Amino acid sequence: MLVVFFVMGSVAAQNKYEKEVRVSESEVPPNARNFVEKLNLGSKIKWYQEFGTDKISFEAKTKKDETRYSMEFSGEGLFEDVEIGAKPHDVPQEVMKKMRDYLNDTFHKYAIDKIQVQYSGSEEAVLAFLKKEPAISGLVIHYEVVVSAKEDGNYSLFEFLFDAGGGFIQRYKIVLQNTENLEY
Amino acid sequence: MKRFFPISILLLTLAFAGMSQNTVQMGLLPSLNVSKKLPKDWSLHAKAESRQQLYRGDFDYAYLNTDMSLIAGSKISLNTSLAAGYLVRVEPDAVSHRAIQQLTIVNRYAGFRLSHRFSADQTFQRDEATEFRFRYRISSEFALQGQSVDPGEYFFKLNNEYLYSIQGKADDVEIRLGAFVGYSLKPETKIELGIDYRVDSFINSSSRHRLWFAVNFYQNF
Repeated sequence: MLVVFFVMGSVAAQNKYEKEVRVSESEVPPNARNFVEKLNLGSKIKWYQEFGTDKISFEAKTKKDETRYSMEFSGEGLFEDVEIGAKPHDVPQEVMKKMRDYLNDTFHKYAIDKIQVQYSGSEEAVLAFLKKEPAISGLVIHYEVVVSAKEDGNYSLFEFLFDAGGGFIQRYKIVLQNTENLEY
Repeated sequence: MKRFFPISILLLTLAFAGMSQNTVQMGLLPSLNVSKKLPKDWSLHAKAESRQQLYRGDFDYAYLNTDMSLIAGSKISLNTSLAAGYLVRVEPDAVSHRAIQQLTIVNRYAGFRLSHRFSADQTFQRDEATEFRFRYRISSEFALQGQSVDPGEYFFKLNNEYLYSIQGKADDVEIRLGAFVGYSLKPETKIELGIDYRVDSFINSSSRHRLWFAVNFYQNF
């Protein structure tokens, strides 16, 4: 998957390129494989290698009980985060309201395309949380919200990152691939 | 790459399906597509497409026509666009003109994209009644490596289109099925190679089958 992100806001503009290639499990560092095995999701895992502008990483994707899981690791197999697909009603009401308020202030009109809850921090804390074991400190929760909206006269897709309380952290503009060969 | 095998089988099946019919025409249908993005979600799309017959009962080469079109489009949402344009068809002994209107919805999913195109066109030709056509096409593009089509990667595209046409008191239905293997050279450049199978005239008379070997080149600026 080639996705180009433009970092907006007060930060100087940066471009981030990612190319995603399917890889076999044997090509994945043992640390990453071990993490996924410990989760014991029991569903088929698809592994991808992502080539960014400044790093190479691995990603495991799977779907269980209609919920999408995405697990990211560094090129060496070190745990980075787990993203789990969510619906607006899965997000605490006050958090959802705060995120919606921010989006209402940012855009005249928008539509939420996708929500993912992002779990990062210590590997042990994330594993304990996902396996519903006694909590271990060090769990960091973020919300990744993909929104389609019109800005400066153009319809675009944006990826927003909010903290556990719904506070804005950053946003990226997703540059979409051409669709001419499907339209004409 | 494992997906190439079933795709090749499908392409060959389509080819032989066309050859096994009684009234069959086969040939080449190359096209060049150039698009330019404009401010405020507007875009221009120019297309040149030539049709050459290679087979009609027996090997029989004939140049048939060249279509040249220019379509202007505008997004009305992230996934939906409205477009209208003009096409001129040059045949060895005639020229016809066509007005085109279309609405396209392109949805993105993990691993593939799906588009619905609703269109209408009106063809004008000297000494003939205007032909009105109403069309629906469903197309899908499947990434053969990774979750989406990146430069240096192959993809598979499948089209199915239904056309209803009316000219004077005569009307007809045409069904089209296209299967293409494509390659993304750069983010803005794609090439497709495949088969475009068309069947029509099956309501009021014996059906006509046409099978075109197509090469489509897309360049975006």
